[in-house]
Amino acid sequence: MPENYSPNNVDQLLDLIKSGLANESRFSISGQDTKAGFGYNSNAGINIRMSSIKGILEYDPAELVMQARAGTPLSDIEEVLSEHEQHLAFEPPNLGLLYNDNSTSGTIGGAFMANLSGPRRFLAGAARDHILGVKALSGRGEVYKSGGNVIKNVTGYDLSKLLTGSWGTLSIVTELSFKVLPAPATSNSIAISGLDVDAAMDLISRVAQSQLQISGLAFIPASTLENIDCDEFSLEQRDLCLMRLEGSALSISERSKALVKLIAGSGNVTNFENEASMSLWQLIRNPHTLLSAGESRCVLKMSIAPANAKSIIRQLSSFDDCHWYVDAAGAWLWISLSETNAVNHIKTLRQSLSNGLGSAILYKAPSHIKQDVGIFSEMSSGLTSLTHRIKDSFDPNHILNPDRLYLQQ
Amino acid sequence: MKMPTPDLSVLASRDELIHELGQFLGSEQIVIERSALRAYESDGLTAYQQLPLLVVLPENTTQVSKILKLCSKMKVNVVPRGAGTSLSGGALPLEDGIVLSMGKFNRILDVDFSNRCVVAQSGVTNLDITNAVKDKGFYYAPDPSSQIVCSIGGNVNENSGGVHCLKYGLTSNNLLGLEVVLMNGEIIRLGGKYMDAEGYDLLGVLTGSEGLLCVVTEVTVRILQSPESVRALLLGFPDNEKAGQCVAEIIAAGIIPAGIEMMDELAIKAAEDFCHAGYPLDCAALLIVELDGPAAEVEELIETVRAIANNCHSQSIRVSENDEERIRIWAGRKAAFPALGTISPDYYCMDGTIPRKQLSYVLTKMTEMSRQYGLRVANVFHAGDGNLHPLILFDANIDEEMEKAEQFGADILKLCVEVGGVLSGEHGIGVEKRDLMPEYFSEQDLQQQQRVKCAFDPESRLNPGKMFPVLHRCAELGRLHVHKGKLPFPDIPRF
Ligand SMILES: Cc1cc2nc3c(=O)[nH]c(=O)nc-3n(C[C@H](O)[C@H](O)[C@H](O)COP(=O)(O)OP(=O)(O)OC[C@H]3O[C@@H](n4cnc5c(N)ncnc54)[C@H](O)[C@@H]3O)c2cc1C
Repeated sequence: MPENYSPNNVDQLLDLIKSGLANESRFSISGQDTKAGFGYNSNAGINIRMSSIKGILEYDPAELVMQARAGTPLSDIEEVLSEHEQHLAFEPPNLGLLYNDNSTSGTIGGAFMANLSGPRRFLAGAARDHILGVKALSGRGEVYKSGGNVIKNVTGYDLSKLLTGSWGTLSIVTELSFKVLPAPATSNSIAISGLDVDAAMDLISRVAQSQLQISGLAFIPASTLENIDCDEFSLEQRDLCLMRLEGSALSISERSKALVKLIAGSGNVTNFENEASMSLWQLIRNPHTLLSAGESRCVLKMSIAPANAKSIIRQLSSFDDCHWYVDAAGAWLWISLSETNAVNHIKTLRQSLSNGLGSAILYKAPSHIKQDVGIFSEMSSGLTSLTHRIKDSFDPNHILNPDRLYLQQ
Repeated sequence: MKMPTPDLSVLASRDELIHELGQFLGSEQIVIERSALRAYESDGLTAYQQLPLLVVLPENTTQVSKILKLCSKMKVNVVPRGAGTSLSGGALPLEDGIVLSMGKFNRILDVDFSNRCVVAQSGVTNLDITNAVKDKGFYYAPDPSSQIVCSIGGNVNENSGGVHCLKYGLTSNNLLGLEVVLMNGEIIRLGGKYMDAEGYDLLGVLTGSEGLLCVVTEVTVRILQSPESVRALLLGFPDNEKAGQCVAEIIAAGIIPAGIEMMDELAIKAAEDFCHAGYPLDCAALLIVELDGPAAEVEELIETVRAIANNCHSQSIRVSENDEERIRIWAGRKAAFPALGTISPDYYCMDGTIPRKQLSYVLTKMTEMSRQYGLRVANVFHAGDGNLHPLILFDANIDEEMEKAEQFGADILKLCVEVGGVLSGEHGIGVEKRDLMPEYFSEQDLQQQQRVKCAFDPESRLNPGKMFPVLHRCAELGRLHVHKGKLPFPDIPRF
């Protein structure tokens, strides 16, 4: 049976790691363990949860910086920020819901270590664009810091970015500082129905290249909408193209006029204002609903050059039992596949990206499928060995989340 | 400045190296003559000079790879160089090292509007990227003041910013892909025309790595549509404190201007005398606040900022009504460094970041130090993100004044660290701030950074003597002392 620890402070954590090094133990590290379904099974003897090392350490809204312990619940942070009309601009989704219907949104440490980002990605970046500094504990049992608590900093290597998205495989992050930004006062969206895929993607591209500062551009095909049961789309059984404007009421109303002009004549337009607009984008942000990702389904996220979206979508349309939607102005495809045909489909999709045309990360799958196709696409041999050398430079004995991202050869 | 002791056997192998390089490079690609090497003896930090062993000018990635392989084999150090505008001595040559100049990597490879990105060789200048896309209304956002000359590869290696990075981010936030060559000659491609690469964020750690990890040969950056409207306010204040307060209140009101620049009294006066931008001379501090976006939004924000400025006791408010007026508002700021050059034989430009709330404390302290050192200091800086650029005025012809200026500079940076800030906001560590690193980092912090360096360049051939005050051998850094025998697990809460 694995042992489960939830240390209260960094000293306790350090003691654990030091004993672990001496005892040749391996650790599975998590915040609240909401995203355990991501990656390979670590097969570690000891589970460490960071959720007791929590609390906001510093926050002065005018500095645009917050500093918090890694185990602080993301929801606490979002609540405090919203009291000051600020937010995490990278819109972290609740990915836990892909794996568990009742999942919370996890911890701030988890949000950064998973490099989360939402529909605003193409405008505001991902978690990696907002990290400013970390305090961390390496697999060598050494505490170190990188970065700082100010917005602009090039003092030393940016190890904070390297850790962001490393899923706990390089170090255990104990404290983070990150950029926070004013939240838009309000949001307005439009849904355009009746466009075919090609027309919709062309329109998205045109709007993304406009001066309208659009902060959400998504496309959901009717075939995906058919499978879900949610109020927002109760009347819609047609392909939907969604566009979001955010900002002050005045700015939105002016830009809405310009947007309507820009899209004139393309399909039927429905408006979603304020609350309705916000809940609409929750659906895009948290992918579990649209992907109806039940138990055995596989979830793949492709990040692509937007101009290639049409050809990839043509492939998707030929797959049976495949739910998908486009987000981030054509740069992302969220895809859900049934277990039976997932392996072939994933291989086909990755094939189409093999010349550095994009990425395709397997977010969820039964473990035999993960083993078969890998969490990530195949890397060049140079990049593979560099990746291993980087892992070794932080965690030479491979005690932190061993095998979570890359299986040992 | 102490640099690593040159390896005499490398100096002795210079002819052999020239011969070997000649096997795959044309003679015009190898600079040998002393007089020609002079052009490379320093970068933007001209206080330090060193003639390199040789300069090589590769034309393509294969040549870069061969050069690095050869240098690995012959134990020759390599200093990568873009346009040589680094202000921290990052491209300072080494006596026993070649300078690898990216000067011939000057082609834009792909302008891709539908994917909103540009692919360029790393020696292309920052401004040429914008120039290549501006006819369609696009631009590349990071805009260092050196943008006419500095290279995009240099920008990646310094994670350069500019006056607009508060809203649009630094180089790292606008970078999509790289082609790089490791010291062992391996060519690696990272990312591309898409946003989220798989695996570890190597783009993230390479940005700002100051030529110590790899040679960047190709860069993919995203481009943005130019905003519909851009307007600037020029705000004058009776003291620095009120100007600082105004910056804090603008941001607290939920506004992220495209840029907020601040100038102090000495800088205002010098700039006004130099280029007559119409700056109010009765102010002790000036703010330039630039707002951009959809026209209606900018209009609204201008009024909000105006009200905030009034509240903060602004003495004078000027708002640009057209682009000409906006450019005039910026003229003095843009000319501030050369302007200060006219009132002092030499100046030394510092670069640290502080939490903005410490601004008035730091400025007051700096005035005290200025008195102690007997050297004037002018301040021109990116107020929105707390990135200070104090300019220390001195005369290198006066005995020891340069040493005094350096000492003063070091004290300013220590002060930045003391109030919760950092040693560099955008100019990098290089040789200039190398020995100050322990002011900010512990030995353990620095060792972890060096271990990452070892993963890329295990023999430490790339740009040694920069960034790290002490160079450890990788074997020594990699050693892990583990307690022998089992240890009982401590008594820690379980779940
Ligand atoms: C007048 C002036 C104004 C400036 N204003 C700003 C400003 O507003 N904001 C700002 O951030 N900076 C500014 N700078 C600093 C400087 O311009 C930037 O740091 C710039 O990015 C350096 O680019 P470069 O091509 O000149 O690089 P170099 O000076 O040639 O090199 C800089 C560093 O990068 C490495 N390097 C360069 N190219 C490569 C490559 N292809 N592969 C690997 N390593 C490489 C070098 O080894 C060196 O360590 C200014 C400098 C000057 C002189």
